[in-house]
Amino acid sequence: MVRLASLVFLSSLSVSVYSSEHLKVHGFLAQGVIQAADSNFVNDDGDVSLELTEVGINAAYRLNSSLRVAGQGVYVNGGNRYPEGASIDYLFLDWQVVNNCDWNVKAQFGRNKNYHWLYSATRDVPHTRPSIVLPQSLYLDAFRDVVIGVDGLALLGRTSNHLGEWDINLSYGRSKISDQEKRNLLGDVQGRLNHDSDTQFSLYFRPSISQWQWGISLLDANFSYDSAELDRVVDGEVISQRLMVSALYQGEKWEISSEIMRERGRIQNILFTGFANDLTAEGGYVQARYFVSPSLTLLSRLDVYDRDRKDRRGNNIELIGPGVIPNYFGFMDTGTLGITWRFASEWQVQGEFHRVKGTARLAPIFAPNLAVNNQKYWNMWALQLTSWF
Amino acid sequence: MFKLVCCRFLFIQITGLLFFGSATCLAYAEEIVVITHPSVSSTSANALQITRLFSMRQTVWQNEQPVVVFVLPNDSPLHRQFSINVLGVFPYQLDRIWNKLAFSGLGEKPIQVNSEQEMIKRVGTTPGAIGYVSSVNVLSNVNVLAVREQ
Repeated sequence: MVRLASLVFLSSLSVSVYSSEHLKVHGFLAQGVIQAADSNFVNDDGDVSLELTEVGINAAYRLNSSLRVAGQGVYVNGGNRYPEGASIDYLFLDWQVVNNCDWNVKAQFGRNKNYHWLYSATRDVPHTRPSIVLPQSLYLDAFRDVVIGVDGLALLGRTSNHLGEWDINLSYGRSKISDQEKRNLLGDVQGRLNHDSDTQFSLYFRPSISQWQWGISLLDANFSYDSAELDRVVDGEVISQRLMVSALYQGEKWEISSEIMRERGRIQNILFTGFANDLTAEGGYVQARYFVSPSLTLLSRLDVYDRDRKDRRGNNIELIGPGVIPNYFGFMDTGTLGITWRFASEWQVQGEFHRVKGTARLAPIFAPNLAVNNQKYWNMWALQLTSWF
Repeated sequence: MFKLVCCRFLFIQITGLLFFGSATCLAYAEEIVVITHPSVSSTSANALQITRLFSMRQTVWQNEQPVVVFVLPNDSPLHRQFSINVLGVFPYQLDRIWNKLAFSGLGEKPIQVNSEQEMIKRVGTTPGAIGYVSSVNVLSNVNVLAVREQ
C-alpha cells in the first residue's frame, strides 16, 4: 500500500515535466475488482478480490539525435496470477542505427519489452489492452514476468515500400525467474529455475491500401532447474519453442484479431531422474471488437488451448500430482464478453465475463492443485477503473 | 499554390470515400491543410508519407532534421476528419500506435494541442514541426505542405 501511494504521488509530480522537449513522462493507475470462483486463478478461496492493481510511470530522455534512454517502473498486484510488487518493467539505451525517410533501424540495450506479439509490448498497461485478462492460451499470466521481456538486446527495423509497411524485430536475452513464478510452474519446490536464453523474431506486414495486418513470430527459450538439497524434484532442462501467426483487421466499426500458436515443450528430468517429455501444445484466439461509439467498445472472444495436440482430451497427462490427474487439466477453452467505456479523456472503465472449460493454464502448470481446481467449468468476472496521462 | 493543395485534397477525400465507405460522410464540411515550420525544406509529400509522419514511423525529414508532430485531441472532429480522409486510418488506430510507442518505450507520442490557433502558433515556433488545421484559418509563420496523390 505504501508503494502504491508512493507511485501515485510520483505520478502526480510527473505531470509537471510531461511536456519537456527532451524528457517525456507518461503513467497509468488502475484498480479493479475480480473474482474467479471455483479456481485458484486469482486466489485460493475463489472470493471477490481487490487484487487487480496496476500502476506505472515511464520516462524517456533524448540524449542526442541518435541516443535515448527509456524506462518504466510498475507496481502490480494480481493475486495468484503473477508476483505482486514493484519492478522495473523496461529500462534500455536506444541507439538509432539508421534513421531516414525510408528506414528506421535501432538497437536497444538493457531490459526490453517483448515486442513480438500483438499485445505483448503493453500487456501490463490497462488502457492499451482489449480486456483486463488477456487470452491465457498465449498470454499465460502464470509465467507473465518471463515472457514480458528480457535483459539483453533488441534489434528493431521499420520500413515502407510500394507493397506496404514492414516491422522486423529480433531480440535475445534472459530474465530472472521469481520464486512465485517458479512455484507457478513446478509447485512447492526448493531449487532454482533459470531462464538461460531467450531468442525471438517477429515480422509484421501491413499491405498498402488495406485494413489488414499479418504477422509471424518465433520463440526459442531454454530453462534449467538446479535442485536444492531437500527437494521433491531433480536437476533438469526445459526447451520451449513457439511458432505463432497473427491477423488483424481494423475497420471503422469492427476490429477482428487472431493469434494462433504451436508450442513444443521438451522436458528432461526435473519431475524425476530419467523423465523425458516432448509435447506440442496448440492454442489461439479469435477476437472481435465492435465500436459502438468512439467511447464505447464491446468485445467477444473465443480462446482455446490444448496442452498436447495428440491428446486434446487430456486422457494421458503426465504431471506431478497425487493419483490420477483429471483430463480437464489437458485443455482450457474460454469464451469472453467485455465492455470498455472511455467516459472522459484519459479515463476508462472496463468490465468482462469469462466462461472457462478446463484448467490447463492454472498454476502450478506441472503440479496441478487438484484440491482447489476441482471443477471442469468455472467462471471469472472483472471490473477495472483506469486513468492515464 | 493553395488552390492546388485543396484540389489535391479533394482527390484524397474521394479515395477515402471509396476506401472507407460511409466513414467519410461527415468529412466534407471543410478543407484541411497540412502545415509545417518554415525550417522544413520539404514543400510536398504524398499521403503515405504524411501517414508515416503522423504515425511516428518517420521521425526525420529528408535533410535529417527531427520531425515534431502536433495533433488535436482524439475527440476533435477535425482530428477525425484528418485521420480518415488524409491519413487513411481511423483515430483509434492512431491512438493505439501512439500508446504502444509511449508505454513500451519504443518512441514518443505526438504533442497534443487544444485548438487550431494553438496548433498554428506551436507549429510556427517549433523547428521541424508539422500539424494540420482547417483552411478557414489565417495562416502566419507556417508553410503549407502540398499533398501529392502518390
